[in-house]
Amino acid sequence: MQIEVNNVTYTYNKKRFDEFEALKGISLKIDKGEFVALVGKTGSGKSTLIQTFNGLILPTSGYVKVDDFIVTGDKKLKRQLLKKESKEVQILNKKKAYLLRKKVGMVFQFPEYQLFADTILKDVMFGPLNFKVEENLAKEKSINALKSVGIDESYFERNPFELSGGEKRRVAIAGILASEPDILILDEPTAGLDPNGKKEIMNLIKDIHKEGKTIILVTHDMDVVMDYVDKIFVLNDGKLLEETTPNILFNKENILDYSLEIPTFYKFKNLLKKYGFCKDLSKINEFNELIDIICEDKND
Amino acid sequence: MTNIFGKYTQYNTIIHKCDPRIKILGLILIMVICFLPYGSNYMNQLAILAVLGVVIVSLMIIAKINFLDFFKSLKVMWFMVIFLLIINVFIPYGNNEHVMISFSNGYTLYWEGVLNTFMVVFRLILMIALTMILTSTTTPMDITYGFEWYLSPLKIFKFPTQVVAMTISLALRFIPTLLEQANRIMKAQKSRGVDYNRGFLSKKIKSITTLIVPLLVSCFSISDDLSLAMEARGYDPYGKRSRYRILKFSIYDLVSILFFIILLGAFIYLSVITNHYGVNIIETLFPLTEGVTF
Amino acid sequence: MNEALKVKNLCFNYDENKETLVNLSFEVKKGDYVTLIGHNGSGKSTLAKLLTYLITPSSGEIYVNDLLLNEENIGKIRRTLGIVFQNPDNQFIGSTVEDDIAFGLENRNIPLNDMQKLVKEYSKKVNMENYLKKEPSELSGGQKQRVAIAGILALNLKIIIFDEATSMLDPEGVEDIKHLINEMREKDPELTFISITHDIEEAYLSDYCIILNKGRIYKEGKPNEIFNEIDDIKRIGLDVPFVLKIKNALKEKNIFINDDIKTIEDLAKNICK
Repeated sequence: MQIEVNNVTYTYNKKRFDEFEALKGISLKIDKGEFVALVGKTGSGKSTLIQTFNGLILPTSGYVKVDDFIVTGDKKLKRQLLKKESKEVQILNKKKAYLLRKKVGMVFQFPEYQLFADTILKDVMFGPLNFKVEENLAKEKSINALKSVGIDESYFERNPFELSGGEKRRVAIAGILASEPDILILDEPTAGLDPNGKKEIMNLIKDIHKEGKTIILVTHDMDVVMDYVDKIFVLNDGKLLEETTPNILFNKENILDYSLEIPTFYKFKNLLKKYGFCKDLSKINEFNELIDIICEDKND
Repeated sequence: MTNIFGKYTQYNTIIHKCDPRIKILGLILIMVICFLPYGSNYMNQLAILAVLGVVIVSLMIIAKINFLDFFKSLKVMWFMVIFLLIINVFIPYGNNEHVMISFSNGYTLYWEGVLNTFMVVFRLILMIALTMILTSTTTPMDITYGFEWYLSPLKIFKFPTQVVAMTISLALRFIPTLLEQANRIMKAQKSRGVDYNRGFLSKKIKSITTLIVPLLVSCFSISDDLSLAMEARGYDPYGKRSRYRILKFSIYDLVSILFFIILLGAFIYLSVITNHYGVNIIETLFPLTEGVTF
Repeated sequence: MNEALKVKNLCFNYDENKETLVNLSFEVKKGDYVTLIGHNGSGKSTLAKLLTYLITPSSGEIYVNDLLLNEENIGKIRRTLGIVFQNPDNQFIGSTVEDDIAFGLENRNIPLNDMQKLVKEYSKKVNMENYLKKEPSELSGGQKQRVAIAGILALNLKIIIFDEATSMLDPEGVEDIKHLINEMREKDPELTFISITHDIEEAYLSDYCIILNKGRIYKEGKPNEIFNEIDDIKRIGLDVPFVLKIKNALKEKNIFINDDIKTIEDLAKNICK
């Protein structure tokens, strides 16, 4: 088990007039090398949850365990855990936070906003240098990362602000990859991109996954979920509704209750059902199969 | 995301309902009251300021101000307190008479110095409380409109009050946006291993640039978008514009004006009798303490 | 005067050696819903800025309601044409919903009483009447775009340009805005919508579609016609709309579906008939 979320709650602005409980007791597990997605409508707690994975947010109660790190803000629980768990387990504190953040790479929504250095290479090297990687090695890793996201060597000394939106985003992702994290978390990596840009980024993420990294995706884009993800966690109102796979999820009868945007293909299938299509569609997951079954129906 | 003076809270108290112009006037008047001279007797000064303190605390209670927030905002005062102590205590002046501690190397601490510092700090705390009452019961926009109203006489001299008010209100409008942006950038950089709280000065400066540069970039992009949007919607800074928000006085405002006038009158009276005529209020009110002087 | 918008030989370049838009000519009929699609960098957004005179063309002319777009006429033209931008937050000028709707009205020097009526009326039209006192930070992206639309409608503008107005919204917000556009068009057939987008599904539902590629018009016409030239569409990396994909696949198997059917809802109904 690489990530274990144990009954995590989180409250923003505790004990204030605008107190808001974003997570209401979530438990889930993610294995090494999995490609998972967290889905749910805006405000369901997805973004809050992923920030507990690298200790940017400490759970109000419950804990998150990432390998042998325990992330929690609950002091009582901390003391209990310290007694019980074996010595290899470490409770996250401010000094150790960077060790966890090296392990868990986090790409925020619109990551192009985090660029700051005067050359692309320097910006990408920033992460590894913070994680105390030696200068030469950091450079080597950064060059590899940039190449893997498809940024040409001739760009390395250029100013990141000269790039187009899609290129900036790839540089920003390279900035996380250069630290060689085991787990990569991406918050809405395809937001605001055109269809081509979307495909490029998602194929890049797929390649990273093939290298054996765990990928956690937060997204609204169900087409992306459909095409790339193995496992889905559906969140709603700070709670985990369901752990499932794309095919099962989108074929569910009550999918509309989840207030998710369904891929057009499944929307169409649901509409066919609604208007009384005679054949059984539940096993149809391919475009061609659907066409065949419609033809069959028409010819009958 | 609270700033030093607390942010607007949506309650519906009498103070919330007051006209911002009255509140600004009231704020200034009570600040003046704070700094009126109340004679040379420290006990008298303390007593008068304590009364003022009670008035302000009751205003805070009426305005439903979170006292926890208030104490948090006082944290930034530590530097001031120490600074004032050093000035008042270690640089003796005037009629210091009552020795507190005498150091062997000739330095002497006087009670007067300590008390003076205390008085100034107490006044500053009252001022912070007052500002907090204003900012947490009035939307930034209303405060802007209030100030604009006070600036309106300057129009005679062709001073563009409208433009200034628009600039301020836009700045205020985008503070939450920029704070959110800053928060997001900080989290992103933290994920890349930046530690904003630790490290030496040189390292800290470097950390801060990783926040400032992206923030500036997004500032420019916001102002770009904003100016396009304003232009597309027909904004002309020097053209004739009507106003959607018009401030109107209500019955609460009359009551508060009366309240401020009485308050001001009372404290001016106190100031005059204590400062000018040297009346000792405590002795006058409580003859028991006669003969006990400080 | 049937055209809401006429563009003649429009050219634009940001710097001398790079042409962003080359010799564009097209017309938009009154009351139509026209989509301009293309990839990032195809010149779409530059075109939007040109249409609202936020930048001026290098050469060529734009006519809005037969009025040439220039410094002299811009005041008049801004009284017929509005634009909704991509970033919902950065175009929210007022401190609350009502202030933002009123901003354009204030610029027109409309008296307070009328303004209050208009704000109420148009906030209702976009279903934001219960949010009048809310600040932008309390609203979702879709709600902010609704407010922007209300601000334009309150000014009684008849031509509305959407510059990728839904690209930064979540799916709920996108549906919300699409729904609102349909509603508006039903209520007021005189409204002309020009939507700049990369959503081919949206383009397929429009009355007329113009595909931009590398600053030139690649194709224009009725969506059914232009998207049917599948090879051409795929060549520039665009996808074929879902409904059309199904229609074409069925056509190969000798099942024909009427051209009028454009939404998946109608398609499903038709198949089940």
